[in-house]
Amino acid sequence: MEGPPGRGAAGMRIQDRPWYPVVFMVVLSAVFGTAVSTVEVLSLPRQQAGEQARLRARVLQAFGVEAPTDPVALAGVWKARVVEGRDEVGPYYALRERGRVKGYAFPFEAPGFWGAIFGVVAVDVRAETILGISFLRHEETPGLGGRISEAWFRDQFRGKSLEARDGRVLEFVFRKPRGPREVEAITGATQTSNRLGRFLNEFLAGLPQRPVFRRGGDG
Amino acid sequence: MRPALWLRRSRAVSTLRRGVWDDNPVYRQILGICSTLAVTNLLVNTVVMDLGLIFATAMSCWTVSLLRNVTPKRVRMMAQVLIIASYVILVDLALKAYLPEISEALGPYVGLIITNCIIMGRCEAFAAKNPPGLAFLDGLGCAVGYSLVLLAIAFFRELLGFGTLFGYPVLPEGVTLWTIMAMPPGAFFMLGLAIWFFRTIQKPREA
Repeated sequence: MEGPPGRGAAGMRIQDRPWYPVVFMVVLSAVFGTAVSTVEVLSLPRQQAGEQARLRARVLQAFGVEAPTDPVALAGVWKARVVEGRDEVGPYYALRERGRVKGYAFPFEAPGFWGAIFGVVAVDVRAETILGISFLRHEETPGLGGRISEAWFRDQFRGKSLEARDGRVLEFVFRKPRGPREVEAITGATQTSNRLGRFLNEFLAGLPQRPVFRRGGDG
Repeated sequence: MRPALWLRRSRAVSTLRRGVWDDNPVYRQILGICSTLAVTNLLVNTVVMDLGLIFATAMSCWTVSLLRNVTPKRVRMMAQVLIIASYVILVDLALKAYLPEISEALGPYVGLIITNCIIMGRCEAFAAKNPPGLAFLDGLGCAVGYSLVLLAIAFFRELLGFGTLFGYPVLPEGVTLWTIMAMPPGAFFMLGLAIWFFRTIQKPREA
């Protein structure tokens, strides 16, 4: 990358010249930056394919449909069952079962403790009950806030009513849930639970007003 | 065997051995603890993290050593971080492209290899003063030493916390799982035990 230590005209070693560290860092940054960028660009298509497969698997997971791990099988299930659409508010996914739309899934971006939590929530075609929730990406602490992706937490949402009381659809509680509207929050991740809970309540309460439901399930 | 070659080889062996055993980064130098605690609840995650760290450390040490005679002293740390970061980003990109699930599970910890004290430490303490071949072995040895301790911790945490090894159930039904092993406190207990165990079986030496 750099030649052997040479000597300048005045007998001063190149390394001792005041500009040398600057030139060295610029050259080093250029070489390593180029190498890393090249690999990034080359691996981009593969990364995007992986991202897309992940999104599809998570949408199916929110609907409660088993997503095959094999990419080809996953693409097959996706093509057969899911229709991607967009209403005035944003994108949605419609799940078809025996020729009829069974429910809709909506992507969301919720605030977490360390960063945004990206997920998908699925509700039935009449916007009455939650079919399920799944999380695509988050930056919560592994083992604490990160437990939102675990099945025990996600499964609690399945079958919950979307009817809002006092502007709230769900109650996040830090104990074993008692009522049908209660969801057990994550002990040790109070901030993650509260922020996600506040967001989901607002998001879920607004879902029945989405234009896609007024169209009567033409997805 | 010619003495020169024998000497060189023995230096290579002792360099490796020092990193893996005598001066193990985890239980001797107490370095890289953050990731030791974070990624050891499942063996699969640990193995991937280990491989990433071995690659990044060995290659960084080799590169730092290769450039040691032309690197200005005043900016050497900057240069080291740049080199380390480049290799770590390569690992991160490879994981995202080929092992997206594991990349997600490891979350920020792959990126945090950049600030892992083991790599900086080896670059600064060894690679900056020794020839590339030895520097590579030194980085390799330390990373392997780190990896072995992590694997030992992960083995017990996954076995006791989940009842599985590499995801396969190995404990009979009905065994009470130690949930605490899967949680962060379990990592502290296991790390403490590991440090105690390895320091005990290691030959006592002058402090």
